[in-house]
Amino acid sequence: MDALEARLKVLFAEDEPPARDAAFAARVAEAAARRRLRADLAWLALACGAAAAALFVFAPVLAPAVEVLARELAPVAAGLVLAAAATALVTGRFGLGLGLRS
Amino acid sequence: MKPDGLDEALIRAACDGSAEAFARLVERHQQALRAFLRRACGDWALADDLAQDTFLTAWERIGELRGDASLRSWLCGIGYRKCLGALRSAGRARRREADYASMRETVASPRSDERLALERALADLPLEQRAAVALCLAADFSHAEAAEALGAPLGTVKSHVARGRARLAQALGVADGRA
Repeated sequence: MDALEARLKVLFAEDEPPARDAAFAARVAEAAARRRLRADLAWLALACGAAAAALFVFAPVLAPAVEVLARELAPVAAGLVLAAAATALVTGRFGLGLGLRS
Repeated sequence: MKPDGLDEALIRAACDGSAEAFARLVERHQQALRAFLRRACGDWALADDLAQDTFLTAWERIGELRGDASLRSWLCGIGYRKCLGALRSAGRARRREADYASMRETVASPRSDERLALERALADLPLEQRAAVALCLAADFSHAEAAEALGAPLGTVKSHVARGRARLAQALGVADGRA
């Protein structure tokens, strides 16, 4: 290293950024997280749009089938809801509140 | 220059999606990248914005980094292209170049006459020359590494560095031993 390079080294070293800069690292991490979130939201919006479009296109085919299924499954669904409510009452926090469980 | 062992492991983890590994890479290389961009574009606030943007681009494209490539050169290359774009867009170049010295005086600590002379000499260099000087004379890049980072032919980088050295030597009043 000659005299000029040595002199330049000293002068350049005067305005080096800090070796560790938590604020800068945090800003980068925050911006990266924001960018990831935006990308995830864009994909989600795209998937929702595609699903909505598919439902719209297939609605004439799906509607009668859904009506039949709803009629057939209504008693089963009601039974499941009652069973779930009873289970929650006996085993869950609601049961604790009523003094059904200790 | 090959990436060292720790960098290599962190790059592999970042390629697999580890945000923590990438944060470590940011921590390890932010100083070199920000120092290079500060010297290349002259505006510290812009340099830090560009450095942040460079890391975001790197995070998205880390899978494209060749196994034998130096992460530091790769980052400086991305940063340099962003710097070129920023300085060339919307008439910013002229304004930034003109503001170079005054901006630096407002953000940094009091500086010696020698330091001011160096800053003025750097500001007078064309951007490509300044970038080559910042890499080879301030950051210890070899000419080949600088050529890779700047996307310029080796001979061009050597000539940029030689001319830059001569200008800086003249500004500092030091004899250029290689002239």
